[in-house]
Formats: sequence, C-alpha cells, structure tokens
Amino acid sequence: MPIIVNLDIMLARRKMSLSELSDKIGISLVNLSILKQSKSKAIRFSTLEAICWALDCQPADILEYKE
Amino acid sequence: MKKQQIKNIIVFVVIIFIFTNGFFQFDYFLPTILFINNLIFLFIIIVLLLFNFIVRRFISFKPYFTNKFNILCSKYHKKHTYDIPKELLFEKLIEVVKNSGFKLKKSDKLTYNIFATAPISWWSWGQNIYISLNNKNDNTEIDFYSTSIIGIYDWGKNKKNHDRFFEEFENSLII
Repeated sequence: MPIIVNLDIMLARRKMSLSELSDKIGISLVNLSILKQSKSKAIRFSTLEAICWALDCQPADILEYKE
Repeated sequence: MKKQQIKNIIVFVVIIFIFTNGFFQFDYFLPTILFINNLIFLFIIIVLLLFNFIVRRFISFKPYFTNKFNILCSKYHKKHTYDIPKELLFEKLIEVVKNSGFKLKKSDKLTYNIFATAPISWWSWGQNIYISLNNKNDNTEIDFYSTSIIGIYDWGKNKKNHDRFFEEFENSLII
C-alpha cells in the first residue's frame, strides 16, 4: 500500500513504547500493532487525533505517501 | 451455565411435556403407555441437552464436527487469506470473537486454534465455531468452520455466523 504509517519512528523519537501509547489513548495494543505495520484498512480521525495528542506531533509525521 | 439459561431450558422442557399430553398423565383413564412415551421423550431431550453441554465445552470434538463425512451436522467452511502476521491476527481474532457475540471457549496460541460457540436459540441448538490459522506463502490463512451441533439442515445459520464474524473482522480493521 502506498500509504505508510510511521508510528514506530514517532514512538522512537518520543521514547515511548507501544503499550504506553495504548494506555494513554485507550486503543488496544493489537489495533495499534496492526496500524503500526500498515495492515489496517482505514484510520479514524478520532484515532489520528488521539495519536497526535499523545505523541505531540502532526498527522503528516505519522502518515506518509510513497509511490 | 447461567441461571437464565437453566431457567429457559426448564421452561422449554415443561412446555414440551405439556404439549405431548404429559399434563394429563394423572388422568386415570389414559393408558400408562402415554406416560411411558413422555418419559422416553423427556429422556431424549435430557440426553440431547447433555450432549449439547459436553460438545460445546471441549475443542477435542473438532474432528467429529468438521469431518466431511459427518452428514448429521451441517457445516459451513471457508478460507480467507490476510496479509497480517499470524501472531497478530490470532490476538485480533480473539478480540473479534468476543465482539461478534460468540462465546470464546478456548484459544491455543501454540497451535493457533480458536474455539467459540454461538448461543442456543428457540430455532437452533447453537453452533460450534472452529478457527485455525495457517501460514500460506507470506500471508496468513484463516480456516473458518461453523457447524451445527444437531441438524442436517441449518437454515442458513452457519453462513450467517460466518458473515457476522468476517463483517466484524473487516470493520475492526478500521482503527
């Protein structure tokens, strides 16, 4: 898929683990793992908003388009 | 079994008993054979309930239900392939089983097998759901079985279980 989720890069920058993020935003670890591996079908604005809030970043830091 | 389920079963047995003339068994004019007939009928019902109770508890009955030569239990079998690692998909499917109204009975992470049951209703004795995960090339294959416990014809119940499960799964991929 040309849309790549850079969640792992942002997590490394913020020195935060996936389970910490899961606890902070209330999304299950399984769902975040699926999102991190770019295996999800779509992402809700509410999820994106929560991740941006928790990691103090912009949506463009998480999502990337690659041909 | 919950209290409510036991209550429902007792009500069901009493209704059947009444409708098969069991209510009039104390009438001295009716032959004793009617009473014996009712006892046999009750015995069959109890045996079926016990059978149901046992097979809905253990995953070891999977070969019996999923066997293609078993024509006494109607089944629906389908395979789906997803580009998600097996370990991750296993965790996800457990979540989906719980959210799609089935009761998770057993999940084995070593063999990647999941066993769940669909609830008993007025129209069915419930269904057993067996899910197993296998690697296929770089993808993971979901082997889904929904089997009726008793019944040659399932009135579309098994397919409905399959559709409900995969609809919930597809929806859960929207995060």
